[in-house]
Amino acid sequence: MIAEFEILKWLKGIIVTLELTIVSLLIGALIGGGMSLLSMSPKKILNKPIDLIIFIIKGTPMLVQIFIIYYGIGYLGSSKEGFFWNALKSPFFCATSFLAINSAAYMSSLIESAIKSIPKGQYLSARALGMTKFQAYKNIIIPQIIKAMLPAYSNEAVILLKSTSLASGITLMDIMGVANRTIAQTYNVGQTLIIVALIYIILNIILSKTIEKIGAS
Amino acid sequence: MSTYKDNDYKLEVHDLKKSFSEHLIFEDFTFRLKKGEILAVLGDSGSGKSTLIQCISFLERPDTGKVRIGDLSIDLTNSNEEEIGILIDQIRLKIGVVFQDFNLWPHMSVMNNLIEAPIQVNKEKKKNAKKRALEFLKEFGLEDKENVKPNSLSGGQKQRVAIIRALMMNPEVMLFDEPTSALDPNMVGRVVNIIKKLSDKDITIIVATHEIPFARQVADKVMYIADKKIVEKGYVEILDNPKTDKLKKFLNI
Repeated sequence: MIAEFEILKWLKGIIVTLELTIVSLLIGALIGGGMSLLSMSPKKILNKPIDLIIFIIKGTPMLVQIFIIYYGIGYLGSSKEGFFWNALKSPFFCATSFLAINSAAYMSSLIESAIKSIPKGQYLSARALGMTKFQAYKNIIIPQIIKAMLPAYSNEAVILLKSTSLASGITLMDIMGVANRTIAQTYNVGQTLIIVALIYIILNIILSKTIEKIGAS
Repeated sequence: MSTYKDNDYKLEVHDLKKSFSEHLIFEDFTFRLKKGEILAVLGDSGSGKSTLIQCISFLERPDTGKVRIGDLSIDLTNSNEEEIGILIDQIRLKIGVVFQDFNLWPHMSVMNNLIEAPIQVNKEKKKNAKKRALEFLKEFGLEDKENVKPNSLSGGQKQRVAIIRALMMNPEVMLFDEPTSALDPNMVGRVVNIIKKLSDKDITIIVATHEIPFARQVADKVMYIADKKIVEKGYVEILDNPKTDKLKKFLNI
């Protein structure tokens, strides 16, 4: 009974970690795509703020960022009501926001360099053959961008999955959260942390293989 | 229906001008070609040969002038934007471009490079497009390359795939940008034969090149451009008897 309860606890932790990873990767990719386009804009008013955001995100410790979002931002405003306040009270919302913003910053750079790696001639040859702009991007350019960024994206996804462990710092019961509680209850530090490390390794293998398969298809 | 008197001429370029911002690339470009004629555009690097190719295929928008291919004519000076946009889409289907770097799509097999545009643009049935592609691959000695990726091909093979890719769209005019620059010298003869074979099929051809011996071998007509203008143009024999000092200097005479 106790063993079953323990397994269930760990499974719940794994599910929380996976939810954090997947939601953040998807939101991060969307925001990162938009940021990369803005960052490549020749207009300074569009590209400079994006460059600044990326600089701040890449230049500050992740633990500090998640604490600022969870403990800091909510207290900036005077109102303690409304959607914003309620959202900031949710550790899951804060952790997802933090991870998605981080993912977006790195994705933006990834997408930008992938776009720049595709020679203009690839687009021109599609247009010369009568394809519309949409057809040229859909069939010729975007598949090449995805292929170019996939290895780095896979790395980024692995780093993001590992970074979800920081969410335990704001009371979320992900794998690391469950581990912290287990250690507090059992004082079994070494064994628990080795189990945690193994779980992360297995999850990362599954995640990178999945991305590889998506890329191949 | 053509409004032109002389229907013998498949391609007419009249008073074409192109500049990038304030920087003039060329102006007063006027010439015409009959069905199946081969024109070599000669000039040094940076003389605007590639830009001319891109302007005729409307991958770059010329500033002013007229381009006519068969019964389709675009007047950049007098037409409205909407009309020009529609005409550009139509005229592109009459033109095949073989780029200097070939620009094959590396994420697709040779076969998919060939059938993508006919399926997407002409809505051709995949089976039919494949059948035609296989015939072309056989004709060009590439029948065993159907399933390979372009990166595993040699320069000459890539070029032939690029030519077939353009031919799949049944072009009336083909434009070659520096077709010999990425090839071994011993491949040049083969390119000459291929281009002449296309001309025998009544395809009108423009070849941008800076290689004089190649131009002599392949072309019916030549046009020498320098200092943003056409310096001399005429049948290939003008290379034996240049009138201007500029062409003489280019030919090292």
